[in-house]
Amino acid sequence: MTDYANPDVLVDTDWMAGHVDDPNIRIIEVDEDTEAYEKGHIRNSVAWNWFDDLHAKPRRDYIDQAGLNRLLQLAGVGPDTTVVLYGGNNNWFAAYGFWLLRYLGYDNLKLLNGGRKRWELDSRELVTEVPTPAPTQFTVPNPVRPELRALRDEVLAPGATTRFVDVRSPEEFRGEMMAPAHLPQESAMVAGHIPGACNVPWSRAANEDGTFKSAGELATLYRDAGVRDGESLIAYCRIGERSAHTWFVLHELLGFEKVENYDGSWTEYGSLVGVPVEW
Amino acid sequence: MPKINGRIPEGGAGAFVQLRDAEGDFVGEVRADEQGEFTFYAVPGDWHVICLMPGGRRLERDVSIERGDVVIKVPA
Repeated sequence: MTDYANPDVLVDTDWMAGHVDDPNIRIIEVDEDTEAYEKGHIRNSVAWNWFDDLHAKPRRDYIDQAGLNRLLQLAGVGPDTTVVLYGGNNNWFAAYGFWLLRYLGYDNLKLLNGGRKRWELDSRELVTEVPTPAPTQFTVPNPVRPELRALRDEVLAPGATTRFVDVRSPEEFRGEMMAPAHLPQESAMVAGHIPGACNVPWSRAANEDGTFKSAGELATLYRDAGVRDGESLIAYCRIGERSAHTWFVLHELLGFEKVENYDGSWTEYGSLVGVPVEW
Repeated sequence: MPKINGRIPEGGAGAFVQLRDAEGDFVGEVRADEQGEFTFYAVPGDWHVICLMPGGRRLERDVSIERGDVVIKVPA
């Protein structure tokens, strides 16, 4: 992992196993399957529900910094704490949590490489005991970073050097499917992709066990797809979680400078009236 | 949309099951349930199912969909 631009943002399962009892580590599971944590989780981890905890219900938007402060305080996070995120389905929602925390100005953050899948394939310990960390008064020290997030107006009026990176499967890109194959196929009103977008499925950046490919493999993948550092890159998928995975690869592992996640993604764009769409 | 209803008869509970397309691209992943059963939605075409389990156990098979749902076992 040392060849990545920011190797400190990733930890492997051996490192994690050695730090489950570290009082300066707060492990947080952010999972697509919100019942997975109850069935068994990494010891001393707490759970954040990607929807209930991270969204400002009933609106489709995220919690603000005050909301994140509350979550971090309840998780026992202090100024000396490092948060390690992990989750199922190849860390989709853990990467989503990582991107959101960065967006909201929190930096003491790592991602467990391979997430729950690599942990379970290693036959490592899962427990059902839920820790009760002592609440803190911690507040996020940095301002919100709007440069990490693309909203609808920017997507509809992209700059001259903007490149859209559609990270969904080729079948979704071509408009043949509306969602990943394990999900019901209702989604946006129409299928297809943003005109001009290139299709680099998130999964090409991951190994079969959910760990990230090497820095050299990742650099080759995006270079061959014409995705270059220096462009204004906007990654999108269906609801912004797979594109958060690609954001993590481009921004954190490869160190590309201008990378935004369009969390509205296809469920927003594909339902807008009158916008251009390609198949 | 057609479904692939699959089952891993031996030791499949909790397996990580991936669906990949004919070019090898990942299209979805699901955990097999306690009976080793799983479901994917997929359009007609040729697909590949990969099952990963602890201990390095790995099963796979091809599956083709013509129009309706298909029922498969892994391995075939």
